[in-house]
Amino acid sequence: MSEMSVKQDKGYIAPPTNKVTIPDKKQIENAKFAMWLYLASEVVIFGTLIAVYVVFRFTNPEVVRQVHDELGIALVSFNTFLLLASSWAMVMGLRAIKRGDESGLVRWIGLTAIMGAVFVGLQYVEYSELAHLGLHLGTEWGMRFYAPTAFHGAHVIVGVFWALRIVARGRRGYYSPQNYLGVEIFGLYWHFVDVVWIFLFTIIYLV
Amino acid sequence: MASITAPTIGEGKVQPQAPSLRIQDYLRWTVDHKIIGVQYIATALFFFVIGGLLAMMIRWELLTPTLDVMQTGEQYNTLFSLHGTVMIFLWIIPVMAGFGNFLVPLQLGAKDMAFPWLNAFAFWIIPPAGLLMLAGWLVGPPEAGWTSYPPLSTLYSADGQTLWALSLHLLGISSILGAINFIVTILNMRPEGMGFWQMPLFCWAILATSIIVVMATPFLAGALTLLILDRVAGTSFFNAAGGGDVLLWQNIFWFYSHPAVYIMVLPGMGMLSEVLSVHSRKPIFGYRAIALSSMAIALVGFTVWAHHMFTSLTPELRIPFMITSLIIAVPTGIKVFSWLGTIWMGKIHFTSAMLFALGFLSMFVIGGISGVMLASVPVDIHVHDTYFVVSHLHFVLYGGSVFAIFAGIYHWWPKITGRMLDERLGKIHFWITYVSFFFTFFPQHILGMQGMPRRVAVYDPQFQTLNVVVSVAGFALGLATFVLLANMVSSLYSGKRAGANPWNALTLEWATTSPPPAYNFVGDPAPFADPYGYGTRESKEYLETLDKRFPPPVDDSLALTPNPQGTGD
Amino acid sequence: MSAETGKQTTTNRNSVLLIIAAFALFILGGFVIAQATPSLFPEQASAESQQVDDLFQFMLVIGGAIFLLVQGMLVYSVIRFRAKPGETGDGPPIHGNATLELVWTAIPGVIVLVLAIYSYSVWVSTTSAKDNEQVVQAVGQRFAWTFTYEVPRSAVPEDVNVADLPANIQQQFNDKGTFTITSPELHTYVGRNVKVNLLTQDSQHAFWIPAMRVKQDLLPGRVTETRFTPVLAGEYPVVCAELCGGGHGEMRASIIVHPDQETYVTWFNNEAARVFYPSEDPVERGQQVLASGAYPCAGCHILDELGWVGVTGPNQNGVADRVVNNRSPATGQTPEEYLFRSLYYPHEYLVPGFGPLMPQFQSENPGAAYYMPVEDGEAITAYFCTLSATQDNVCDLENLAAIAEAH
Ligand code: HEA
Ligand code: HEA
Ligand code: CUA
Ligand SMILES: [Cu+2]
Repeated sequence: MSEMSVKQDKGYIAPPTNKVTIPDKKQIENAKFAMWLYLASEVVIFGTLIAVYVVFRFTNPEVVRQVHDELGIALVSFNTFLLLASSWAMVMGLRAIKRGDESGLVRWIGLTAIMGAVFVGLQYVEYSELAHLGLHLGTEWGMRFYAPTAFHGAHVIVGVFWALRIVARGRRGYYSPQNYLGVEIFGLYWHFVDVVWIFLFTIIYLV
Repeated sequence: MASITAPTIGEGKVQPQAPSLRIQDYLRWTVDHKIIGVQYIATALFFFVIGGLLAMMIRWELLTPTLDVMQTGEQYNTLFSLHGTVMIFLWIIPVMAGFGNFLVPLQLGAKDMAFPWLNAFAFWIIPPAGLLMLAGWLVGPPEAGWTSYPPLSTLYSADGQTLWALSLHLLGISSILGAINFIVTILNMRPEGMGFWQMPLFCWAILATSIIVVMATPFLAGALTLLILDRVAGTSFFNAAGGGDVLLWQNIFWFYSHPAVYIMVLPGMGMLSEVLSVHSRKPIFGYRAIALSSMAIALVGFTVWAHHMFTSLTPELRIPFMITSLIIAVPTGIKVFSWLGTIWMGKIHFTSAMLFALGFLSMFVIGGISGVMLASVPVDIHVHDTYFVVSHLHFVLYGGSVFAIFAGIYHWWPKITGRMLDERLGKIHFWITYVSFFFTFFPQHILGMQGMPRRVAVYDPQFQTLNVVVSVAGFALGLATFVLLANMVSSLYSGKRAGANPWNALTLEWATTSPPPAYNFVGDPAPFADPYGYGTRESKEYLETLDKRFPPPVDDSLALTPNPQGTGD
Repeated sequence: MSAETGKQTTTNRNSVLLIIAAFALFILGGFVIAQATPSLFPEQASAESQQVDDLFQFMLVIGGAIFLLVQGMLVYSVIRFRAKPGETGDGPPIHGNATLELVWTAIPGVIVLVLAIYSYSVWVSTTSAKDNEQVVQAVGQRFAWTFTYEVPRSAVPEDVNVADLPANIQQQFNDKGTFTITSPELHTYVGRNVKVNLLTQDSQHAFWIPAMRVKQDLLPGRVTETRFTPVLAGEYPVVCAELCGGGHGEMRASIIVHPDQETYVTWFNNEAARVFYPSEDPVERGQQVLASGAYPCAGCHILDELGWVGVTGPNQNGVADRVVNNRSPATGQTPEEYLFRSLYYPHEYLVPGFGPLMPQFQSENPGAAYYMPVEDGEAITAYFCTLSATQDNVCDLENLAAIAEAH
């Protein structure tokens, strides 16, 4: 405090631009709360895109049925399973660091990243199959399908990079049983991406 | 009322001293919320001048019923498209965020926002986004209006329309990040002793606004994503020929944009509550009602969007939206009457801030009443997309939001800069603005009712007389703004020293130096229990203690010391 | 009872009276303001307009009263409660008044309820379907209006053999039993219930007749409709009210309300006769086709002879001379070839300074958009050939016929 008024003689001292401190309890609450708010707004965007599909689903059931017949759901079912499993790996990672098991954290979150990456790869396979069937972005069904799924895919890609960052930090020993906020926040995001996919999978492939 | 009597504000500790800030301090990346707030406000003012310049060109063109200043209709369409977009997304919304940034942590006695880095990031998205918008001029500017209805904005517009959409996307991200920060700050960072019901009404307004931003702006993001896909990726979400639907855009766009009009006015209403109470030296009348009506407006605001679509929506669906739109008048009325109750029996000081606040009351009500008329379907059918709507929107946006911003500038300028604005220039600014504002926008009601559509450069010659009146008054309105700008510049160099609390106000931002030091307060500030507890003995004592701790500046003519307040070290 | 309380009651009674008087004054003021209504609107040319104006007038009474109330309280406050110079004290610490707050929540609540009910009743009575409606179709395209009417087979005069009529008209009879005539104005007559079906060829537009107080958007991919009943003969503007591009301001037309059915029928038969007895002279036929508004040229071009005022495309006054003097030599085509092909391939014949905005007409598919049969193309070209300073025909009409034949 007194230190501050001394410094003032040299002009205005702005707060430091990046604090690398162990966040206090309040800051933890804040960060989680902010993440929830962010996810709420994401829900709205996905909601808009999904709603566009749903309306089409109701007004053009025959087109959708035809797509279902031609496509089959083996691949996406596997993909869905993969994403669910990655969520579980994510939880295991968080549990590991809470117990102080740093290498566990790195392993589990690494697995999460790998599964996310495979998901994206398989999604690409799925897309090329669809393109083969002539269901490209310019078709009535195609545009309503690609917009939400590609938007979701972009979220998975972001999530993979985020996970890799956590892995990198974890290897340097950044996280500890006292400081695992970053992992927790990532967890919220990853679960969200997972849940969105469950919705997409159900709405696009199952009904 | 006040249960805590005159809290001791770090008495006996080190005397805080106002920092001296230089222009350079504002031109670089920093995570200090006060500087970010000023950065927002300055950037927004810059775009206000751009938007105003475009408006002047609109009015110049409309002096005659034929195309003359502009070569083609498209060029004219560009003018109002960018005027509307710039004014809304680069002036009103950022300037409100600027006031929020500067004031919310101060009013809460916090050191900064919850996420300082995020805060700076959200701001720095804005300048490039603004440039991106204006860069449209290089590739064929947008010309489909600020509402950009497809297929005009998809099949018939140049590439500037894509830049327009990208730019709005960025601005949307910026306001979502800002809003998340506000919500967390307001809910989690209030000081000991400040419950929700002791929070300044400006914070309530920012809270309500931020909730709208977080829930509504993503809709805009969704709509823009689809628009961009339609323009560059060959989809046809909005193209009937390819199985799309033009009403999809209208529905999503207005589902965002109606709530957005409350994003634009609620913070202004928050500022108004502060200014009216302080400058009439009387507690706010019906504090809870004002706070809750913000929430009610935010909520009901989500149910009215299709009142912008009364001529395109399926007829059966129009009536429900009429009813919800009419209902919005009730919570807004509560605010207006509560403000009238606030100044009633007060001791009204005609400062420039107060004049603009009173100007808001008197002009916003006109815009509100015309809004209620628009909400009635049979009347709207006739006046939709005419100058009646243009009039309505300027009465609420200029007579409402902008008047409130002006009031806010006069009120908080001393806190931001440590210097007073010239009151005489302020009054000149007010009177020219007030009168020319009325004559710029009131006659537009009549033009619209008599049959002049909006967004036209070529109009029926019978409307010329009124248009000339409007244009001339519009030029005066533009010039009046220079009085404010001149006042600001001269105050920076030679304005009277302000002291910590020039208006004797009770909210916490006044319980520190002007401008406040880094981290805002020395020690943990204790708020006065009732932010509007004027007229009580306790408040008087509290203000006296404040004055002791932050002695008001000595008369400028006598003060030769560079820093007259806070001589204690 | 002491004298003190007696005085109290009188002041109370006085202030109640004062408040009532003030409110009466505000409402009276609202009535006075509302007297302006008729001068704010165009003439009331439809049955609906009277109801809409009455609703508006009612809202103006209420809005005017609220306006006076708020401004009155403001002005009163700033005069009565202004701080004297040098005064530093505070106002009384009043924080609210539950009764008052309830009142100013409830009264606006009641007002908006009344407004909702009244508006709803006007809405229902102005928009419900009426018996025996005249159905007109209005087509909007950038930047012109075309109105089309159906002529039943029974209206074909005795002396006309359907088999002799142009092919596209026979086709229409075969397809739908009627054929379509077009007009750049909307014609109807006093007392007739009109239903307008609206469709657009391109972007959105909005069909607005200020004098009738009706407006409805034209939406791509949909047919929308609006209804009204004219009560006053005359000619009124039809305006496009939805931004549709650079020529939005020029996208206007008229509605002509004939005083009675007879004059309307006379007009209608005249229009139909043009089709039943087509002129032998291609120039005259071309002029008739253009004057009928069958094509949206008026939206973008100026042509004084036909009253076109659009400014988006090149000016057509004296086009024949310009073609002969500049364009023909520049392209090496004959004037008739240049003009004819400009209709079907406008983007290959851009006049310097103008962009490729003109719709591409086609003569192959009668069902598709921008259909212009070759006969029309030929006639229009022939007419354009006469738009010279001397009014002479600058083209070789036989060559033109050959070009058309080959097309
Ligand atoms: C700050 C921005 C702002 C605000 C606050 C408002 C407030 C309101 N607006 Fe406005 N509006 C716009 C900005 C705003 N609007 C814009 C920008 C457009 C044009 C968009 C475009 O097309 O470009 C628009 C257009 C618009 C339309 C569409 C018109 C059309 O295109 O045909 C409608 C229709 O219902 C409408 C209604 C209302 C209503 C009912 C309110 C209400 O919230 C008003 C409530 C306030 C009062 C009523 C006054 C105070 C109350 C009292 C004193 C109590 C007593 C009163 C009564 C009982 C009546 N507005
Ligand atoms: C906050 C929002 C805001 C603000 C402040 C304004 C301010 C002004 N507006 Fe704007 N306006 C909109 C929001 C706003 N507007 C919107 C949303 C639309 C709809 C767009 C659409 O249809 O898509 C619109 C449309 C609109 C139109 C209708 C165009 C049309 O439909 O064809 C007109 C016409 O008169 C107009 C005029 C003005 C004027 C004269 C001002 C003045 O108040 C401006 C005064 C200028 C300044 C205060 C800046 C300082 C002045 C200068 C730097 C200029 C130099 C001075 C001189 C040459 C004298 N506006
Ligand atoms: Cu058609 Cu505007
Ligand atoms: Cu609205």
